[in-house]
Amino acid sequence: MIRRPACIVLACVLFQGFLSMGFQLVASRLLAPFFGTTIIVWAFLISTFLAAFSAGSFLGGALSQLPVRQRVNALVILGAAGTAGFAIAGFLGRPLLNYLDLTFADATPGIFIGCLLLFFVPVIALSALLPIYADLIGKKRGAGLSSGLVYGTSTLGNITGVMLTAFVLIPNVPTSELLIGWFVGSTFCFAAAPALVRWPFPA
Amino acid sequence: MFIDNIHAGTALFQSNVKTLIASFPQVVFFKVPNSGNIIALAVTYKTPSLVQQIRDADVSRLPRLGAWNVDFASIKENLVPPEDIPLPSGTKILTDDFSPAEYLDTRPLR
Repeated sequence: MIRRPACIVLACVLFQGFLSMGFQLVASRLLAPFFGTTIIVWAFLISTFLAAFSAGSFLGGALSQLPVRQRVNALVILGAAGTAGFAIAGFLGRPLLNYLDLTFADATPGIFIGCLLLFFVPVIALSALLPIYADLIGKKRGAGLSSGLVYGTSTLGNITGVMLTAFVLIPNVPTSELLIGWFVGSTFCFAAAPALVRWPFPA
Repeated sequence: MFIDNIHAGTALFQSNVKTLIASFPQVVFFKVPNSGNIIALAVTYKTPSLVQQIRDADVSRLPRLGAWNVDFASIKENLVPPEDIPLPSGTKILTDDFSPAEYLDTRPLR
């Protein structure tokens, strides 16, 4: 059997953190032409992401208790939902937000519905990976150490995602291309999760 | 006709100027003395020349708006044609899809 190195799991955790928080900044650029960048927009955006982080953590915690085969199947479904969510944000986000902008005279429901439809599902799917990774690492190390490693690494990924997105990606790459990048990146992230759960592979 | 007050002093100013030039057939700018602001005036027609129209304007015939501190003679003196604003080759046009305004607003003029 080939051992599953913790560093590979933590690399996936780091990438998950990068995608999660970086996506929040990219999402703000997607909303900006329709609803601006006011504190109202940020309030809905941050709340949507935090709600998705919370729901994703509960969901991931529940999935981590499943037997390996069921967990892999659940991760495939979760990954499909998450990838579809990123695809919808990337390819249908602009027309949807334009429709919401034109439909509601008061921007508030438009922002709320837009955030919910475009960002909630993909971020839930990303967040659900963390408890599963914590469970993988914690097999030999215990819950405290594994959760510390996973959430510490994820937060480092969050910081990297925020800073790189704000200072490198957004100033140089159009939002539409960034969203496609997130779609591709998340596809890799979601594909890695069931593979890591199935590990150790027969040598 | 489009009128906007754009803040000078950062790379965002250059991007704003390039964006206006790319979006309208004619654009002119007016320096606002003792401030960091520039007023942009854009129109949707190609002829007659907007710069020439302003240069030829007889401001003595315009209504007096002194009470509102509007001095047409000073405005005319502070006219800046777009070709007089240097734009580095890498200056980016802003769109709905690409608008790093906050970032550009922190960068000094190149």
